[in-house]
This record gives sequence, C-alpha cells and structure tokens, in this order.
Amino acid sequence: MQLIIISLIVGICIGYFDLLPSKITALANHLVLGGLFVLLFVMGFEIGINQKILNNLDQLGVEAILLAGGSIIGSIVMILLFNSTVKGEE
Amino acid sequence: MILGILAVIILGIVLGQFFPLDLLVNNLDSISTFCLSILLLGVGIDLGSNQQVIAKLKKLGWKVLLIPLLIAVGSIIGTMVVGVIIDLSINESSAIGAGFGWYSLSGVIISKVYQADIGVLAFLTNVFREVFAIILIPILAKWNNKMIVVAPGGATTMDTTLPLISKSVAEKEIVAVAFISGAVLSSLVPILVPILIKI
Repeated sequence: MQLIIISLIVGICIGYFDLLPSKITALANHLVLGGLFVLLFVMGFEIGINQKILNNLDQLGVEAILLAGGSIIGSIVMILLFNSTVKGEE
Repeated sequence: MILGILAVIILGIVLGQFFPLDLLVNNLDSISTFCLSILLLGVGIDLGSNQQVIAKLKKLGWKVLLIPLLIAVGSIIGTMVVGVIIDLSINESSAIGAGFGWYSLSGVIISKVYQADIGVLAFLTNVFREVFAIILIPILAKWNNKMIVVAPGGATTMDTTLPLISKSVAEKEIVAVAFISGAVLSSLVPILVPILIKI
C-alpha cells in the first residue's frame, strides 16, 4: 500500500519538475497501458482459479449495478445540495 | 480500449480455469506488485506533467475543488448505503465507491491488497458507473443546472466521458470544471481505495 502511494508521488514529481528527458516521460503512457494489461490479466487469472467467484458472477453483476447506481445518485445529490447553498448565498 | 481490456481479462479467466500454471500461480503477487508500481509511476508522470490542470485550477479559484470533493463524498456515501442493503462491510463498500468509475485501477488495487472477489465487484461496479454516466450525461445536460453533468462520470470526466460532456453542454467552463474534477478524482483513487479497504 505504501508502495502504491510512493510510486504515484514519485511519478507526479518527475512529471511536474520535468526530471526526466521528454523521450522517457513519453513512455509513461506505454507504461500505464502495459502495466494495466498485465494487472488485468492477473485479475482475470485470479477469477479463473477461484471457483467461488466464477459461481457467483451473476450475483456480483446485480450487486455491481446497485452499487454503481448508489455512487451516481450520491454524487448528483451532493452537487445539487452544493448548488442550492451557492444560490442561497447570492 | 474496452474490448482490449475485456479480452485480456477473459484470457486470464480461461487460463486460470483450465491451465493454472504453477509458475504463474506462485508468482501472481510479485507480478502484480511490480506492475502496479510501474502503472502508478506512469499515472503520476502523466498527472504531474499536465501543466494545464494547474493553470486552469488557478484561474477558477479554490471553489472548483469543492466539486470533485463533493462528488467523492457522494459516491462513497452512495455505495455505503447500498452496501448496507446488500450486506457488504463498510470498508468494502466505501473502497468500491472510491473507484469513482476508474474500473481498471480500483479493481486491481482491491484484488491486490484485499480479496479477488471484492476486486471483481469493484471492477464491475465502476464499469457500470461509466456506462450509466454515458447514458445520463446527455439527459442531465437538458436540466437548467448544468453542473450536474459533471457528477455521474466521476474520475472518467477527465478522459473517456469528457468529449461527451463537451458535446452535450454549450458552456465551456463546465468542460473545464469536468476536466479538473476528473483529474482530482483520478488522483484520489490510488490513495483512497487502499486506505478505505484497510479500515
């Protein structure tokens, strides 16, 4: 977990202060994509060797739809509340 | 992109189910740790070198930061409420909500530092968030209150749903706010997800 945050902060510093030649930072996009695809493969592999997940995929799908709905409704409600407070101040 | 993502995951599932090679099974953890740090280094470089974000932020003032923070709070509360109904623990539901639509990253972080099945749930939830956002943005854009088009997309409003927002609303400042909000939420994902899942 510390590794995640340290990598991110080191990356932001490299990008912001232009610490590396632009040819290398241009590789950043490929790094992201390459790392992402290997990780997605690993995630798939973990699903594949885990019978418990495979057997529950339909239930997970329904839960995911409900959770996605909850996060969107929560976001919209917060923005609406923000707007009504801003208007109240004016 | 989404097709490539699905293809790689399906390839992983099929190999895991039918050819669980010992070499892979025993080294999954070190492979994913290595790739995750490389991935986040790349994300960081990308965010840091994007001078636009900082310039736009200065122009709009600090109040613009409230938008992504409110979206973050709303998303997490929303999934926590649903989590109570479908019987998830608070750390699980809040971490899933903190994916903010960035399905690939939130899914892999949770699979890596917590459990694969919750990682899958986070992945699916955030895929659906992006899909619902794509459907909702043009509909919400018809309301008087244009700021709400920024809400459903979460972290995706800095890339995948940004073109849709810019097509759906005429006001360009909304597009700038959407971009900044997406960038702030994107940088919160790798920080909040591992913290929340460990609570």
